[in-house]
Amino acid sequence: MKKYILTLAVALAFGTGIAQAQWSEHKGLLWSSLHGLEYEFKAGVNFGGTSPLPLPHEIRSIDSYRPGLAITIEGNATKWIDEAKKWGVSVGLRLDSKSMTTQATVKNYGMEIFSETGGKIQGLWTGGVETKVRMSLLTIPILANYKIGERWKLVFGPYLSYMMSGDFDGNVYEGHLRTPDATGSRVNFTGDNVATYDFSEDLRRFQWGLQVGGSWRAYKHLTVHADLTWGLNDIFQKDFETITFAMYPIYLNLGFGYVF
Amino acid sequence: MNIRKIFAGLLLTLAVSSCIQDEALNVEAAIDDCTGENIQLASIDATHKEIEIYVLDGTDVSQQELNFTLADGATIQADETEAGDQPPYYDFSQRTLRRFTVTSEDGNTTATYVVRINKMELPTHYSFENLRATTPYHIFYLTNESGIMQWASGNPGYELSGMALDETQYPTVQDPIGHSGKCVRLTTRSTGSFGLPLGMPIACGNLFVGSFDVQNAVTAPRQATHFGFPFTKIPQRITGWYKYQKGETFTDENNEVLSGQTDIGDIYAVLYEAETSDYTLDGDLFPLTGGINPNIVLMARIGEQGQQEMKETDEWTYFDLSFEAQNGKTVDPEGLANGKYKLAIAFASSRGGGYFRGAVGSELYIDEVEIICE
Repeated sequence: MKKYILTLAVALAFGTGIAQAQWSEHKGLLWSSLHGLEYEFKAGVNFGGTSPLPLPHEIRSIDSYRPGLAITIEGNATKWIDEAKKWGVSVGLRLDSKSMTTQATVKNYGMEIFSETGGKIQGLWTGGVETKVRMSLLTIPILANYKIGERWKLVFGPYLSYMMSGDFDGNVYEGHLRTPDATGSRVNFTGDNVATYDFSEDLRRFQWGLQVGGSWRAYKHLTVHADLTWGLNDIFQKDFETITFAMYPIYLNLGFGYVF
Repeated sequence: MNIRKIFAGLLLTLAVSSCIQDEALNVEAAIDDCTGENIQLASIDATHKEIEIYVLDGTDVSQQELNFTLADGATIQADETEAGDQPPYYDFSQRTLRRFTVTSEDGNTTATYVVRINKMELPTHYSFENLRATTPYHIFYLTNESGIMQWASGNPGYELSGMALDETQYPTVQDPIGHSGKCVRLTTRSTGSFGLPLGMPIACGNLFVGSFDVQNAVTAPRQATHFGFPFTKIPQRITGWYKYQKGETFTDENNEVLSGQTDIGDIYAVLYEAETSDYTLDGDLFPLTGGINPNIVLMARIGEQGQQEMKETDEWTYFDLSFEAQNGKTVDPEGLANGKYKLAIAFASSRGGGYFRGAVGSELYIDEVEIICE
């Protein structure tokens, strides 16, 4: 978290720095404009979830969902290619945060619980599972831009993310564990009995996916946007087999931006 | 317009992703419990898929009732049927060892169990020389000319904590250097981050005659501990050898340090009334407050009034405890002959271990134990 705040502060300072530099150098902006370049600074909030798609048989019901506070900050540059400035390409740098908490009822869900000695208990869980996902990412969206009229703009393209820090943990409750496999011992959990798990170490650092969205220019400098980011690789590392299905981050980013 | 499209797209996504698929059939295939008329003790070894069932000598086993509790949706079938089989009644008169295969609801998982009916008298001399199994933890057995029987321990419960990296790191293990030959070493150990939120921060090493029901080890650990086996003689004394070292810090069920309290081990044997074959004492036989279980007739326990105290020592020390009448009861000779009494024998590295009170590191070594009868 500390690391995240620090990065955020640096990015803000950097952003403001650029902004101030830009303010004071109208010439620069003018030059940029003449060369079809445009800069934007965006802030938003991520809503969504990290989920297997489609939901596997193991998940019987989603009992609760809470999005976490997930603020994003992005600076990007767009190069308009054609004369009419309809088509463009943009590259950005975004501080992304994706978080959620869910409670689900599962059946025969692969589970591994590590102890502080490095030993573990593993098996199949049937019952309640609470999952907390928090990821802080540095994302580079590379997007095609298409303008429809003066105010509307559509974007589409891939994004690459580097996860700076991430947690994937939670607990299991009200159910039973079959350990170590489908023919093992049954261990019941009821009432206050919970067992905690933590798969944070198994999260993948590099993530990528597709982003599609649109923005609306409310005023000369102010835009509002909605961007959907859809992860296309499993958030877990390849050799992680405890959760038998892949999970993908799918988030909608809503926010506003300032166009220089 | 476009925003609306995007939202529509998002809603569609959520709709797709929130589709709960049809429930898959269960993949579990296991026997979780086995009960039935005349069964005095059923010990299920889920790792090695062995079920040892004990009935009194003279019991007719040609129509032995076996009510298996299976994983949800699973089915069970005897590998080779006998003429007298009428499930849940099975004929063990021709072969005392039979195989049963459990098949999961989805048909993809099977597990074959060896089920054996034993008619055995409880041995009265214990040397702890031999192990029934060494992985994932040590399983001791008692034996005499009438058969063999596992010593039960809390090791299956400790396995859940994931703390032990090999069999020697469990609370109950065999030690190569006993008073004579090998012995049993009981150690109070931490259950780590698994046990603490469950109110079970420690696991004391224990060894007892009976069975440990791992299914309920988390929800009701004391009730999951079943003590005792039918006994047809009147025990007078329990003798043997021990060594004891207490751990440093005494903690309670919330892992709070209770300063001023020190740990001590436990050695006891009780004879109790068991009107039905499935009745056993559980881990609550000596409650923290109030009297001992009212079914107890005779008791020999170290540290009780009039008995020897356990002391901290690294020398093998002899103990000799006499069975004393309890609850104003006397032994009924007819009931004794008919198997209406059971004997529980237990050793533990922390006397309050059943209530998760003790000191991590407390160690009790036990060897060459004998029950002396009239």
